[in-house]
Amino acid sequence: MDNRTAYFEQAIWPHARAAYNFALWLARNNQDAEDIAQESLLKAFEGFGAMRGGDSRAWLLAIVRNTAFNFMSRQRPSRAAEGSDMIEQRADTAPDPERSLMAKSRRDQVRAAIARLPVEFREALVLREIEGLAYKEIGFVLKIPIGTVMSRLSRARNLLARELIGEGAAS
Amino acid sequence: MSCLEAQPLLGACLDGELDLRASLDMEEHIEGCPACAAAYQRLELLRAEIAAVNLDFTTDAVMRRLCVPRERRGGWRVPAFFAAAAVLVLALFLPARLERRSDPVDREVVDSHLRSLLADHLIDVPSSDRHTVKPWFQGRVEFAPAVPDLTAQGFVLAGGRLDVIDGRKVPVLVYRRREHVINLWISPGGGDGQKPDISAVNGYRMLRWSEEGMTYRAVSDLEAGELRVFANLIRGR
Repeated sequence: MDNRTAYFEQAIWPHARAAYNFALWLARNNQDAEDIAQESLLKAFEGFGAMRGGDSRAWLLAIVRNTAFNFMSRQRPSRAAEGSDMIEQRADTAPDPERSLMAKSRRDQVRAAIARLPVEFREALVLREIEGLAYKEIGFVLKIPIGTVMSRLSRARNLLARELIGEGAAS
Repeated sequence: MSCLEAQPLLGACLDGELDLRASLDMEEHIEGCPACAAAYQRLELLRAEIAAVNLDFTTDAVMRRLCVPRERRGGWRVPAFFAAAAVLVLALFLPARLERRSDPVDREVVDSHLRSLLADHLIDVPSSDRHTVKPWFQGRVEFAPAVPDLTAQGFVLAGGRLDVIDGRKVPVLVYRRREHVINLWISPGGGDGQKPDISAVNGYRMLRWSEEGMTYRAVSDLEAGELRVFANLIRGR
């Protein structure tokens, strides 16, 4: 097995799910997300020389972001505007149908509320709360300083909390 | 510290991004300030809301399609990529080829983790209720494992499963954190009081420790730090 394949297998492919999910949060459309994720994995495979020893996940997600923005600027406004039919349903297997239904609707609510955030807040929030990236990595992916990471996250959380939790006494 | 100073740092405090000095200052301020305490709680609640739902939108079909050249983009590019990716997707369905490791059980466990990421194999008893999961194991294995509720800490119980590892039936607890799956194998035997030891196999992390005659193996694609938090919660500390 050559180096590139080994590198891809060990450092890039384990983040393929994250790449697809991030692409989906940006494009909000399954088809586009698949194109973006595949193109990004391909670029990571081709460009492996550019990335050695650092954080391969942040590197891949930065590629996803670039690819997504290129992609969306080409596509706009046709499909990008469809927005919120964003995600393929997945079969849930919960024992109690009523509870499953509630869980599903809560999942839909959370998904829709995040999807509605303006993209600069959405991407920061997704990288932190869903992908679990540290501020330094978020700054790397979004190409912004740490201070800006903090202010975008703060704004994103306030917007999202208002939707999902309601107006709090302190906000 | 004043509210004016504290408020912009609430998020960083929640995210563990402050240095020791600043986080101690914040702790002190939040304790004495109901407004900042409420704002902090709100952030914690928001995090719990997000962690409680499954936001992984990949399916087996999506993962397979990622490995097939797409017509609409036109052209056949870098066949080597598709060959490599196709092998890796196959690895989701077949016992994966893994690095040679000293412990064959570790290898089996990571194989099983890969297979479990297929929706059909993940869970035999799907339930977020530990009072459903624990009894399910009774009668199926000689011992029923403790099933802690870690929802408040952002690790949501997804269910349980029975695996055959090294010729023995082993209970597996399945938790989720955000979109990440954590499988926890609990098997009798192994040294006592072995501290958590982390290793990486094929991009997944395994944390192994033993306690009171049982060996625990937690496998996930979570960051090492978060996996350690999980292990410490399971160990009850």
